[in-house]
Amino acid sequence: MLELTYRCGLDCVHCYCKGSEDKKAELSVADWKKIIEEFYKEGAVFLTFTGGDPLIREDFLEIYSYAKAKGFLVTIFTNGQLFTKKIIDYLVKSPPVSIEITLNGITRDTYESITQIKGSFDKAVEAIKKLKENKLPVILKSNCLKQNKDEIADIKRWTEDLLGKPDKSKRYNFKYDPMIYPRLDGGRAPCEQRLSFGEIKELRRKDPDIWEEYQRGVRADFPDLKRDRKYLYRCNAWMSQFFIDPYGRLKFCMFTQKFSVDLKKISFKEGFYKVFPKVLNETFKTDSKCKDCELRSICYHCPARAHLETGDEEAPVPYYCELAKAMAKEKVLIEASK
Amino acid sequence: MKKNNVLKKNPDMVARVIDDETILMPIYKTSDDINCIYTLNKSAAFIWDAIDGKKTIDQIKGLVFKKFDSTPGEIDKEMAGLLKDLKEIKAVK
Repeated sequence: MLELTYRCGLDCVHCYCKGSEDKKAELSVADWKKIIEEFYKEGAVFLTFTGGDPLIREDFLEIYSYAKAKGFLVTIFTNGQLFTKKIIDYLVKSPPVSIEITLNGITRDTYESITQIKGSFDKAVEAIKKLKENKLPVILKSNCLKQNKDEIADIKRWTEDLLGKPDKSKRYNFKYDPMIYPRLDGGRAPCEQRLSFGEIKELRRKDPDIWEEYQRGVRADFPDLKRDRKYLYRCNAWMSQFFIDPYGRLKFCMFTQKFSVDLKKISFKEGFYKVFPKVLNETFKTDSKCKDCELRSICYHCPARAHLETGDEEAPVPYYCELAKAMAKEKVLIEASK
Repeated sequence: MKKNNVLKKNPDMVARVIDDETILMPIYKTSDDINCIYTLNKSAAFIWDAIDGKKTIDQIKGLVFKKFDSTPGEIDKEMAGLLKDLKEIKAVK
């Protein structure tokens, strides 16, 4: 995941990048090409350009075309505000695997109450329609917030009306994320947008596909913890993906700077193979209740998120506890009804 | 395809070797299927490597015969199928 910039033309209320923008400190095209070359040599195949809005960089196409020429399977995450004719024409000629556009409302009022920019709704919708006309592979996605919780099902329906309903031969074209995170600079304003377990459940109930998928999840057994409980990191951090921020820091997770390296000073290879593996040896150093919590495998808690929330990797996060407990209760109720 | 034909790779088709598997990825759109990538088996990858704009099809066949434990008939069949596919996806001309 290459975070080309944290800058963005929108001003979304829940954005975790806000406050971390620094245009002058961003990597240059030459820096990005050098870095892409490094992980190309290590056999990386998939590459996502994200932000902020990566299209806000005037040199986006130069970086994109370089990655395509290397044979990467490229995905673009964007808000859809900056699809000029030049960019669309280029993407038609040399298409990405997918273009994921965040659409957080299906009415102008809702969308713009989140982006806080007038005219942004029309721009997004127009771009989505233009990409579709040009047969580019679009996926729409929504963050679930206080403002749009009643529109998530409608956004999905609109997506399917425009892009078609996925079937067995066609992959999904809409996804939603009920989780909102604090800002990378520690700001907690986005957390005011968080939904309760009940609100998330209600928005899921409004769409039969989402509801069915949710019900399947509730009925499934608790997943196994992949690693012994003493270990702090239990995710696939670093093994399946890595992040490079706009300033050249290679990170195993978007939410933490821990074991991150400055690619202007250290090679990708050294960071990836020598520094990142240290995360595997990290163990709990306190008697945090998270360590032996029986809900750990269904909880959003992870050390990186906990650090972002509380400044302490091992500290419980009350919101995550609330969600995990409510989910466990659902499971118990379903078990009892069998 | 004639034995003395010489094939040239399309420079807009990138070949990458990932975990011993050769994958062809088009830089530019080559078909209506936007997300197409093509994987080559061992012998197909060998043939792909041998296509250099200089060797004739017959010369490449000779190299394949030396390298793999197959009969000339099997090699003929495999090469014909592969070259047809590579032409279809505009990987060679």
